[in-house]
Amino acid sequence: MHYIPFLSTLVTFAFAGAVFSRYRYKKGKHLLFWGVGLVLYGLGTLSEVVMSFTFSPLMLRIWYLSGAMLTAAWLGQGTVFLLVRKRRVAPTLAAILIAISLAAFGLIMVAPITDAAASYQLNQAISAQYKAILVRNGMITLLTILLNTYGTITLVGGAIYSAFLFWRKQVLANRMAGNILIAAGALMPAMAGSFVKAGLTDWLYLSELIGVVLMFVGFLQATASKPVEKKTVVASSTH
Amino acid sequence: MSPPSKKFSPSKWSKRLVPILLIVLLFALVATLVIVALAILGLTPMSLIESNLI
Repeated sequence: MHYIPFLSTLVTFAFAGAVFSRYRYKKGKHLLFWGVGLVLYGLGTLSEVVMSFTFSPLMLRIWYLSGAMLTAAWLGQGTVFLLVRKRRVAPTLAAILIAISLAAFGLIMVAPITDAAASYQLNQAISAQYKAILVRNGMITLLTILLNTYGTITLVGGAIYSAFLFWRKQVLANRMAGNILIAAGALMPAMAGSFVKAGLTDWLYLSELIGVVLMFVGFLQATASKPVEKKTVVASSTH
Repeated sequence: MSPPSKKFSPSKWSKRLVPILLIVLLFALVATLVIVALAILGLTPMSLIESNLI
């Protein structure tokens, strides 16, 4: 069980490094938000690694805050910056997201830990045990649902929409394929998160690994420098 | 000299596969959101089993 979140953490931080490296010379805000989202993703899987060795209330809070609340929304916000062209829409949504993230941070840091922490099982997934340990009030639950719904719709929906546009116009095959992989990858932990909410906890770790691998391959594919598959000769003399 | 076009011509299989993939992904997205909504309403598999509905 331990090695899956460990592998996920390695892949996620490598992915975040690739995104931040691209941000350094491209400067798009979408890359910045994706990078932060991936760091949050990595913090979530890293806390799963730590929590498979020892119980820590701080790690449990980091796991819930990053993995369960913020990751999807920050990744999705990156897609909003990429796709929404109307002035002020993406920055306004980003400001709301930052404010909500800070509120979520405050709420999670003061959320009580129950006595069930004493019987925490290291060989079981956090997703199977956190409900009994971390007390989540109505506001935390509401924010978790809102953030995940926003993140899933924007990230997965945005990737599906982008792939559809590239397919319809039949341009940039690498970006079309990359977006399909990103959509599929983003759906993995989103679906697993839904299953956790529905009481099915076993699938989370594996879905996180498959999800981040698919998204990383999709990102590399979409940002590949040689997108041209077919050279069409334009008769420049006629124009 | 004109720059090379970024257009591609899809192969026979990808012409059909891509729309199917996109529809499957869209359904999966909707299914995910429906599961979240059902969980909010308290309709989880465990609760349904306990109430003998499934």
